[in-house]
Amino acid sequence: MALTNEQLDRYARHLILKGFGMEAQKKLLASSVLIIGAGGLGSPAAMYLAAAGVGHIGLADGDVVDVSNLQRQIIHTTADVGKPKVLSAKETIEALNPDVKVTVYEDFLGTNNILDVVKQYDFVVEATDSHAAKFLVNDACVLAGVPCCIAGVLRFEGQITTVVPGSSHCFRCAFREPPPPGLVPTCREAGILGVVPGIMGTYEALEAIKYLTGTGELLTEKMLYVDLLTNDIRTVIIPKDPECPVCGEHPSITELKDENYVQQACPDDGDEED
Amino acid sequence: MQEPLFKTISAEDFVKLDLDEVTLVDIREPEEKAIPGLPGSIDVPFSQIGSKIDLVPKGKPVYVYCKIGELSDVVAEVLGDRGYEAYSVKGGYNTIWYLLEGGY
Repeated sequence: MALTNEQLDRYARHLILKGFGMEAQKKLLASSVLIIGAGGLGSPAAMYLAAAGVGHIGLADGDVVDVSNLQRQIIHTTADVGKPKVLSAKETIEALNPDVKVTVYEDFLGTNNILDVVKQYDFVVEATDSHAAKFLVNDACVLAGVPCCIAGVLRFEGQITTVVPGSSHCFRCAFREPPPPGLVPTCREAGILGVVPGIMGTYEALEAIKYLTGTGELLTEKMLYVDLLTNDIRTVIIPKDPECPVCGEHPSITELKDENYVQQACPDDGDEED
Repeated sequence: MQEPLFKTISAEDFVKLDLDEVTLVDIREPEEKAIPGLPGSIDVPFSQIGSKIDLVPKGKPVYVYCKIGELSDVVAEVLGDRGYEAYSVKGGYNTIWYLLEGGY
């Protein structure tokens, strides 16, 4: 379908971009992305994907907006405090770009429902603050064959990788299982500079756009580590592991079971906020 | 391989056409028009593409020119996508004017 007159103006800078152009813009408009977590990572990811014209965005988060979220979760405003995050985020997206259809899941996705939701999307942005959730999203995406980008942030640091099931490594090729409770502090315990998830969530949007349009290279079989305090940025190669329990040659994880995802980053309230 | 949505034409071949038999679209911005465009051209500055593109009539082949012949590819593609027989003039109006007027 041809772009409308309004879309020609809205996406003009994409249309003139060599290596992107109208064809890529049309692919975005026909694409769907599920963003799991409407917090520090999910806010910029959702806003840039909406601004770019991704035609369908799904948002999953069971949390409500707290005033302590606003230092980094820029899709929400002070007036949204107390409101479900997915509804607040939906309002911002709809105000930003009427081309985007938004579907909300006002709940934390779990082993019982995540596969059914993930299968409905072309790409998944993992934007939770829970180690267990990162493994759950990874496993669900590998089992469903849906590519995803997984990021994590703490203090002044971030890391990010992209998983394309069937061809790339997965999160479990790099990390076998979630760290034991208490070993790694959470953002809630250790703090986070607000702009850090801003950068990493934006990077996740970039990976989604590159995948959906076939532009450039992805962070597949790579993990990008960013120390924003020292500007130390490095890329570590992560080969696909044939022994991986979920994407390897003889996987032991062939369905989602709760016992594989017990560790919670924020055990008090199970936030999906970073 | 999908059929390209538009074709290109060199400024040299373009100036040999019977320009009465084609639609001309000048997408230069007002500040780029120190030299006026070809007579009969429809002005669709790229910064106003959404509000001006419907001014381009259907029927005859459409030849799009900009200043240097790059942005005209984008507009020719958009027109081609909308069913026009669209051409982008390579070299742009800088070259067209040079060929028609014999120099700067």
